Amino acid sequence: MSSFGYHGIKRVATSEAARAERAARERSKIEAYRQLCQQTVDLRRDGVLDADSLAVTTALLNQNPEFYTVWNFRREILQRLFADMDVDAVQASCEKEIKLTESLLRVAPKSYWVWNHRRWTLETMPRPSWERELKLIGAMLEMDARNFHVWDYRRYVAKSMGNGDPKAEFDFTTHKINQNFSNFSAWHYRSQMLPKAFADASSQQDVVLQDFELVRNAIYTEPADQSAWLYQRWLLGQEPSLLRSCSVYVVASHPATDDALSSSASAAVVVTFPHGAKLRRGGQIVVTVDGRMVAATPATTMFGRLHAFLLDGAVARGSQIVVEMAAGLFGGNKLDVASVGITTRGTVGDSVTRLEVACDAPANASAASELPLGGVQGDDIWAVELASLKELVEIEPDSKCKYEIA
Amino acid sequence: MALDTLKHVQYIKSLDKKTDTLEYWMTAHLRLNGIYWGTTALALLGHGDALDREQVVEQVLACRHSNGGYGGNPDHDPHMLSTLSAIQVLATYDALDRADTEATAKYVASLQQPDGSFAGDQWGEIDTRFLYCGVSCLSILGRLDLIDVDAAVRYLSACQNFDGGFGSVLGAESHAALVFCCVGALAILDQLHLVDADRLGWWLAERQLKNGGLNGRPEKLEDVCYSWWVLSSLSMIGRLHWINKDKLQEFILSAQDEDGGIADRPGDMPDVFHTLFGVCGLSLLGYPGLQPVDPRYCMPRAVTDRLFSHHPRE
Ligand SMILES: [Zn+2]
Repeated sequence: MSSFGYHGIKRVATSEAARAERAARERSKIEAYRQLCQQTVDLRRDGVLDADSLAVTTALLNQNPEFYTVWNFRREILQRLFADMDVDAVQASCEKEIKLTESLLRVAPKSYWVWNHRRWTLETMPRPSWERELKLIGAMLEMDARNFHVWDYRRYVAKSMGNGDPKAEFDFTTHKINQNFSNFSAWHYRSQMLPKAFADASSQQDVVLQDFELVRNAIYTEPADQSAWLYQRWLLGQEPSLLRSCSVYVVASHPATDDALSSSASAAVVVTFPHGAKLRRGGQIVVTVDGRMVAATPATTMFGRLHAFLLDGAVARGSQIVVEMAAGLFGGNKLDVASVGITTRGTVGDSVTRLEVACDAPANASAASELPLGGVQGDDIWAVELASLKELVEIEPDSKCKYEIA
Repeated sequence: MALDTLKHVQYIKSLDKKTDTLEYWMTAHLRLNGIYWGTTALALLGHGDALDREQVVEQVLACRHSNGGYGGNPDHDPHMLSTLSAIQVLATYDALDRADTEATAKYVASLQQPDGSFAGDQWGEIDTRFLYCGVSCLSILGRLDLIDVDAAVRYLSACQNFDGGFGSVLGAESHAALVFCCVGALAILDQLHLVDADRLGWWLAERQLKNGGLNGRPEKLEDVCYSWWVLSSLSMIGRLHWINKDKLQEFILSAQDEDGGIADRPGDMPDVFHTLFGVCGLSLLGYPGLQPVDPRYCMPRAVTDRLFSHHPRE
C-alpha cells in the first residue's frame, strides 16, 4: 500500500546538529504551509465558495495532493460556481481541473485522491474526452507499467466509453506484453478481454492457440518470471476439452545424434490432469531411472492441470524410467486422487515419451474409477506445450527453482 | 537478530513530538490512522500503557463529526479509513462508550451501495478497502444487521480472480493488501468457504522471495507491510505454514532501524505504518514476547476476545 508510510526512501544517518539545521531550514516552510491550511479551513467553515477560495485550494493541493478534505472543498466550490455558468464556461473550468490533475499525477501517480478528482471532473464536464484519457493512460504506463491505479482507471475509461472496444483493449495488452513480458497487470487484463474480443468459439480457439505461443516466448525470455506462467494456467482452463485423462510424460532434450544410448540430456516429468489439480505441499513424487532414484523438483505453479518436475541430472536415451506418485500428491476441487497412488513406466525416447499409467491397487476402487487414466489422442495443444517444455529444458536446465517456496 | 522492543516503543512515543518537521504537517490527514498504527503496535509489543489513555481517547474523539463519521484530523472530513481507525482505537482502549457509536454505525452503513460494495465517503469512491472498513467496523459495533450482508458477500466473491486473489474493485488485478481486505471481510462474515483456499494459498505463498521478504504482486519488490497482508490472509485460510517462517522473520527483523521503528525494507527510512505491520507479522509468526494479533481485525486478540464476549460476533 503505497499511500501510507515511506516506500523505497533510503535512510540517511543524521546527527543531532543536522536535525536541528533541517528544522531551522523548514521552520519558515512549515509556517507558510500551516497558514495556508488554516486559511483553507477558515474559508470552508465560513462557506466561502468563490474563485478566490478555489485559488487557495489550488495552492494547497499543489503542495499536498494527499489532503483529501481540500479536494472535497474544491468540488463544493466548483459545484457552486458551475450553477451560475453556461455549458461552455463549465467545460472550460473542467479543462483546468484536467490540467491540474494531470500535472499532479506526474508527481503523485499513485494518489487515490487525484485519480478520484479526475473521475469526478470527467463525470461532471459537459463534453468529456475519453480518447484523451486513453492517451494519458498510455503515457502513465510508460512511466510505470505496473501502476494498478492506471490499470483500474483504464477499465473505468473503457466502461465509460460504453465498454469501448474489447479488441482494442486486447491489442493494448499485446502491446504492453511485447514491451515487457514481466507485466502481470497486462496478462491479467488480457484474460478479461480475450473472451470479450473474440466472442465466437472458433476465433476464440484460434486466439487461445496463438496465446500459447506468446506465453512460450515469454517463458523462454524470462523463465523465472511468474507472470506468463500464471496466464498459462488461465489459458489451460479456457479449453475444457483439452484433456480428458491423467497422463504422465517424460520430456527430454537429446542432441540429434545416432549414438542413441550414449546421448543423455536434462529432462522433465510432466503430469497432466483433466480438472483443476493442485499439487499438495510436501507431496512425494519418486522418479527412478535405470533403478537409480532421481530428485524431481516442481517447475510449474502449484495449481492447474499441468505440472512439470525437472529432474536432477542427465537422463540417457533408452533409460528405463519409473514415475511413482504417492497417494496424496495431488488434490483439487473436482478431483480427489488423494486415495490413489499412480505408477507409470516406460523407455525414455528422443523428446516426448508418454508413459504407461497404472493405478496402484487402490484401497478404494470407486475413487480409482473416477479418475480416467490413459492416453490423450490428438491433443495438439498438449503436444505443443510439451514441446515448449522440452525447449525450456534445453535452454534453461537450471530454471527449476522458479517456484521455490520454502 | 532480535526485536528491539524498547526502541520501537520509544520510536512510537516520539512520533507526536516531530512538529518541527514539514513531514509532520504534510501527513496531518493520516493522524488518526497513525494513532491506530502506533497504539496497536504498542499493545502488541506489550506496552499498551506507554501512551496516556485519556489523551489518546480525546485525540480520537476530536476527529468525530456530528454524522458519526471520523476524519483524519480535527477539521478534516469524515472518511471510512479514519472511521475504522477511530473505532479500533476506542475498542482497544475499551472506550467505545465515550461516543455515540450508533450514529457511527449508521454513517458506515449509509455508504453501502446496492451492489454490496462500499464507498469511502459521500464522494463515492468504491474500493474493497472500504468494504473491509465497513464490515470490520460494524462487526466491532455489533451492528452488521444494518447492512445487506448477502450483497456484500456476493460482491466479494465476484472480486476473486482466476489466480485465487482479490483486487480493489470488480475486475481489478490481485493485490495482497486487497486479498487481506476481502478475505478479512469474508472471515468476519463467516463466509471463508467461498474462498478457493488452495489456489489463493499458493498465490500468497509465491509472494515470498529468495531474501525471505514478501511482495504484494508477481514480480514486485519485497516490503515489510506485506508481512501482514499476506500472512494474515494465509492465517485466515489455515495455510500459514506454506511460507518459510524463519526467513521471513529474519527479513522483518533486518528492516528494524537502529533508532527504533521498522522500514519497508532494510536500509530504508522507518515509519509507524511499517512498524505496526512488521510487529503484526512477527506476532503471527509466533515471535516470543509479542501479544497475539487477530488476523481478521488487525487488533490484539485480547481486545477482540473481550469485544465478542460482550456481544456475539454476527
Ligand atoms: Zn509497504
